[in-house]
Amino acid sequence: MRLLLLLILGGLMHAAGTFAPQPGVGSGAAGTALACGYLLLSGFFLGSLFRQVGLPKLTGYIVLGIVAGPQVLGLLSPPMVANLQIFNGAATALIALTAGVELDLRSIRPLMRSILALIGGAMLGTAGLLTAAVYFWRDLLPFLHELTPEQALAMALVLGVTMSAGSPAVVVALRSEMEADGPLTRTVLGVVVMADLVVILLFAVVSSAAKATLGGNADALGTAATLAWELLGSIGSGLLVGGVLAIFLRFVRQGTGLFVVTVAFVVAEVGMRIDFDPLIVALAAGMLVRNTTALGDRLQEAIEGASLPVYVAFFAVTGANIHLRELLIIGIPAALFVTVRAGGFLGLGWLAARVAGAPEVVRRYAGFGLLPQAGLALALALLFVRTFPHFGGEASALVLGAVAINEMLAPVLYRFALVRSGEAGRGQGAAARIPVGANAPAAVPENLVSS
Amino acid sequence: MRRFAQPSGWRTPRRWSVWRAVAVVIWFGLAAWPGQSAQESPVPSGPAGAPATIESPPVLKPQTPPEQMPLPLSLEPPPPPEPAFDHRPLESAAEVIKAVLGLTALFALAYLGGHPRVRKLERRAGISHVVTAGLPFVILGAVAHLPSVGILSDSVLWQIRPLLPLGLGWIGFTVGFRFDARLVESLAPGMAAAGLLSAALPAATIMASCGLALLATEGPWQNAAFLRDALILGTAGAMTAHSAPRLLEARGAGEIAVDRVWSIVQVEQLAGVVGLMLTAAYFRPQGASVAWQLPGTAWLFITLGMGTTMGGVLYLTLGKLKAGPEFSLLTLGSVAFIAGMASFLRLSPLVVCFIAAVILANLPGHSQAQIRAAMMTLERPIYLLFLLIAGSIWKLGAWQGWMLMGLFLLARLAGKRLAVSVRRRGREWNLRLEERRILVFSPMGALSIAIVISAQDLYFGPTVSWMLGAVIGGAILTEVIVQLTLRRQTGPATGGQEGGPDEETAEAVI
Repeated sequence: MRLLLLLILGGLMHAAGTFAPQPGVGSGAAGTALACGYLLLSGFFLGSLFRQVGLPKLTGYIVLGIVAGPQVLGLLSPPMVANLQIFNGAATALIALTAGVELDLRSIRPLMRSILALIGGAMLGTAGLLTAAVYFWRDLLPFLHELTPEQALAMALVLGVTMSAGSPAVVVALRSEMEADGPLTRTVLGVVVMADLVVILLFAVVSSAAKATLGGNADALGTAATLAWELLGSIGSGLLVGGVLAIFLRFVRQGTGLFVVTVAFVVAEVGMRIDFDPLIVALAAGMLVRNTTALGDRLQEAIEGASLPVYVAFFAVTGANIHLRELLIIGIPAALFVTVRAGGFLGLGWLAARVAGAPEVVRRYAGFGLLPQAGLALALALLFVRTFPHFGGEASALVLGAVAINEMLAPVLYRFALVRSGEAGRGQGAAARIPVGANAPAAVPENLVSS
Repeated sequence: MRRFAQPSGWRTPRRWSVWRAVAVVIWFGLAAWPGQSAQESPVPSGPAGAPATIESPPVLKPQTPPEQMPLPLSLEPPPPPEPAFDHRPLESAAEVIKAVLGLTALFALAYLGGHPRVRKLERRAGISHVVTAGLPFVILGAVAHLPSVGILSDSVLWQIRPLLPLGLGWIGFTVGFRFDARLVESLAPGMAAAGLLSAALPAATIMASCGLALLATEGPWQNAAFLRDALILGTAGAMTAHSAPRLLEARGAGEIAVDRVWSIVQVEQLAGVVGLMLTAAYFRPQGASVAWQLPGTAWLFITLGMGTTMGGVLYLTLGKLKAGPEFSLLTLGSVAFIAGMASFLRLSPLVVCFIAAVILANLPGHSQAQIRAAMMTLERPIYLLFLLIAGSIWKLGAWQGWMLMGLFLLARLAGKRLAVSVRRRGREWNLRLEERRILVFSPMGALSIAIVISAQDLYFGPTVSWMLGAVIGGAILTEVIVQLTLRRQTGPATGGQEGGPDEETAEAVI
């Protein structure tokens, strides 16, 4: 039945597409509403089908976006996809809010040693590995050919940091979908959330350094001030937002889901304009509610009840934005770097967890949780283009290719790890939870590296 | 839906006289409807639900030479496209932040306007939501549009335009869900004809008066746009708000009287939706802006077929679901898909969603009540958002809008009065004084506003703004007249019953 409904919906979309006199037309208001409805309905059905065959629902959403998107069937025109990107910011904020609410410091404290070890060992180590790989395989990358070894090393550093970015969204979504709980789930969540912050900081530093190496003006003081504004400002406003949420949850109660989604939109849209990171803002808000009030569970329920449409649209749009053409062109080097990244996370993750004395399940499977990648890497890739206009486009294509591969494969692998670890299904009352998650797209303000 | 007891002891109606009147009106209507559509300016992408003055269509290369195009009704060249409107993206961070925060505040107000406590207050005061919340929201919309405020500027309206078909679809769903097939069975003899007459005569008087005014102001008679606009105004003015039977009830009328008025209101609303469906099917853009060049009757069948198909798809989709996040996902997705599809094909989202909802509501299943409850939660906030948008695009300086408002108001009152007189003369129904009074001084409901907002989604041109002003201003003025008249003649309301089956619904007081 679900397959039949999928076909009917696809057929209707195709029929509607023939109404427009020119291919690709349909960017108007109606086109946006139509595309949104189509993605929500079809995403639900395809996600259910994927779950039936043992794959994550969110992979179903992403596959729907790829197949229905402009590059394959063309049921969604490029303007439709562009208009639907309004969901990105809100989804990022909601995902970070979920992550924040799940970060109960009392329960995480015993895992902190493992978390720090994994960030220091696996994440930074993999960034180093990727840097080395880019540097030594620079013959495969035409845009590095004309650079001196020092310049190539600087660029390799930027690319290494960018490609090491993870995806809290996928991790949060899979945790909800699989109703998982336990040391592995909590450790991975802590790592990916904190690692995102580390990547943002590192990217700002190494891109400034690279710019200086390439002869540009690198303003170290300006970069530091920008970073301070972003981090401290985001945390401060996050605490404010958390306070507002707590007051609403305590005194109003009705319509909490709608209120939370609205707050997410506001945080995303306003935050980006004043160079606050929506990810950090929402994370801080969620952590405040969880760790200083007794309203965390209520907030979690509200998010789970209202955020599913935002998530489905977000992942499907992420899929529709996957650059298949770039993947075809730069597929071999991208696949090589994906392999290096996976090897780094799995190998170094095991090593770091072992050194930290983490439980066996964390040692064996934590690396799988670091594999997913999406939004942050995409945002950094876009920054790449602006920061290094001479060859940023080609470098960005490389990152986009790697992200595309990771988007398709990593959720499946992490789901496998959750099942094998025995933590799937252990979550309390998570039966109706959100089955989604991807990444934090515009998590990095543009001026972070523009200075 | 509240079901009123079937009235008993009525006289057998002399149907022929009523039907004759209805037939005359229909004949006039059909004679006026062309086989071809009114000509529209080319639009860039099929349906773009932008507010009338916001669309700035790029010129598309026609696929068919003009001489081979089907002859449109208009014998004159189409009017030039609207002047380019300022819909540049909001670039300044301050602009965006102001707009986001302002919109959030307005949306929050709209949400609060639909709060049960506000509804309770309205019921106690015995006044309609059109006055309590409607007028302030229209004013808020106008203020938010001021350049110095800039919250609902043209650029912002351009950005949020996808909400228009979505909101209209939502309203169509909500109204459609109230049309239980049992309503038809429970109608007293002659009530269908009474409802039709009560809708048709005001529609005819509005169409005649406003049509003439539009003809005088819009330009050459060959251009059928004036006829289209008159039809929309007539359709919007034909209906009575659901608050009418409640007003009657609050003034101590008996159950039979309330039921009769309730039935008339239901039939009027059905007639209004049908009128909108016909208008949207027969008055369509032609030429290079659309690929499907079909006659109006074909679009009528497409509307019916699409609504029915989507109703079936929804039945399969929502039938087995229980409450939870997935239910919200599918409900929202269904409305967005159907409304988007309808608007994409330049049909009315309100009508197509109405048909789908009627199909869904009348098929066996357990999820209907749940869907209806979900729909009604946001019904009033959506109406209030519509009023905000209407207020923001209402050209207060356009004298044509004010003139249309006056004509609309007077013609509607005259039409309603005529309908009651015809009924009395026919002696078909034993209408009491208070019933006649409430049918003459009948408040306008939110469906009327949704219908004129539909014009915003379907058509372009300066008249859309005039019509908005006419209907919304007319609704507010009508409500004021209703309240003044009824209070003067029968004293203040004693307060409606609380806690009835549909007291909790938004529609009950709209």
